[in-house]
Amino acid sequence: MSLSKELVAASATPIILSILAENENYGYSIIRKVDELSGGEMQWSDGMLYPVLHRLEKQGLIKSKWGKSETGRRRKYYKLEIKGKKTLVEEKRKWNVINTTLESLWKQTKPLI
Amino acid sequence: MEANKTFNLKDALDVWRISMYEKNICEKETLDELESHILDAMDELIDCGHSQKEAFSIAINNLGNSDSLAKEFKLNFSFHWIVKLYRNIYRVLSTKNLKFYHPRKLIVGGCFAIIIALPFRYIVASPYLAVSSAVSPEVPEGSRVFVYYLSQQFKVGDIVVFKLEDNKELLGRVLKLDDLNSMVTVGRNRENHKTIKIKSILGKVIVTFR
Repeated sequence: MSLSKELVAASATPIILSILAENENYGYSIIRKVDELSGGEMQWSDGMLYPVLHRLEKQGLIKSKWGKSETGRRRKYYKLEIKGKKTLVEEKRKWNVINTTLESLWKQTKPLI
Repeated sequence: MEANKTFNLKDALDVWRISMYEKNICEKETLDELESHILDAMDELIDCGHSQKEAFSIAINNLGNSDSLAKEFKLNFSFHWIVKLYRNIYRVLSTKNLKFYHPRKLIVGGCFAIIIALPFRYIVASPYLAVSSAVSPEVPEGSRVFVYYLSQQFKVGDIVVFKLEDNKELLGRVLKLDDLNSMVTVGRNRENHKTIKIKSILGKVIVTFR
């Protein structure tokens, strides 16, 4: 099963903001985490992730800074800003609306064999 | 004897960077971040048992569609230089405590004139002085007009500037249009009507100053 481009694009912002809400993080690690959490169903490419990260930074939701990895290599880390925290609350509300609607619909219909 | 040369990571990364430049992804910070991503991916692949060379190939192959990346960064880049240029010019011109005729201001002002004003006057529009009353009362004698060079269509009653065989530039009133033959009849006060090719019309008068 592959998710549509639109679904992946729409869910990118809340997913990234949620991951950064736990801890500051860097690009490659975000991709691995999404792969893990989605059971392998969502494999983001760098071509998809980095433009989103840069857009979110331009909007002031996250902030980047260069740091060092465990091996001493240069790495760009992102952390959630206050504006991002507020946006995340909004995103959770929006997705809950969709979630609740679908759940109640699927509860009503007979299970598909 | 080794079949292949020893893999040099630094060389391989340099070649990759060049391929990025060719796709118009040139910002250092962006490329540094992507390189760091490649190295992170390689670490994991090497942990799984791949050689450095294999890890590099796999990591590069797994890089997403660079076309969308290129488009994204190209967009930013295109506006970037315009914004930078504008900011630099503004900064120079608005520096306080510069004498009015400070060379830096004159140079920037002069460049503006050359780059913007001159082409505008040659290509788009230019002022003219009506030395006679040939198109009075629309254009009184001694008034200035702005002539717009880029109009393709003319209508009866327009005031235009046209050129005769002797290269004289004259003002005239459009009296008749002959689209079939691309000819226009223009009139001037106290003169015979002239029928000229549409091509001899340089432009249309768009505004008159007394």
